[in-house]
Amino acid sequence: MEISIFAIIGLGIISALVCLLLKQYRPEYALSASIICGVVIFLTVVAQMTPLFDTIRSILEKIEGGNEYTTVIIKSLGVCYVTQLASDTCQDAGERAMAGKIELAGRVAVLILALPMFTALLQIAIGLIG
Amino acid sequence: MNVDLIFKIAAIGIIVAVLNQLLIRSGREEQGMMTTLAGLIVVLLMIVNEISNLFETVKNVFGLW
Repeated sequence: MEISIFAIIGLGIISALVCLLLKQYRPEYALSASIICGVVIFLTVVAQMTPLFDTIRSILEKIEGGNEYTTVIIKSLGVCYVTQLASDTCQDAGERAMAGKIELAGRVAVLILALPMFTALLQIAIGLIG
Repeated sequence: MNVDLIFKIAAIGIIVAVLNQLLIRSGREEQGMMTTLAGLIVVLLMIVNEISNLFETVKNVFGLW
């Protein structure tokens, strides 16, 4: 599914207008419309990312042990995108504290994902020293 | 891209606002509040479906879980 950048720009601007219109009467519906717009744009973008990841995987496969590292990188990217979406939505709703907590959860999730790589790095360092 | 969902939500919002005003003007404030609540629940159900769709796609594309 090929979606041009112009379609996404148009969708974003029109949704912003719709949200602005709704905000005067019912602010909660404005938030809903903005969430749906974000989800729709994100879905179209993510659907186009699959060939990109395949290319990156095939490039990094040539490095020794690069396959698992690529998986970790791509997983962290996914966690980051989802966290950013949720945190932005909370910030739009005026809940900065909630947005901060969501970002903290995202950071911890990425850290947990990257922990095996840390241990691998430490193993290499210990091997070099010892 | 199912863009019509955004306009659907906009339409629900405008209709609920108008209904709410009408009901409050005619002295039925409880029913106005119920209308607001019902509209909000309908919109939330639509959003929850779409967000679950988003999470499934993200899980598949990024290989999470």
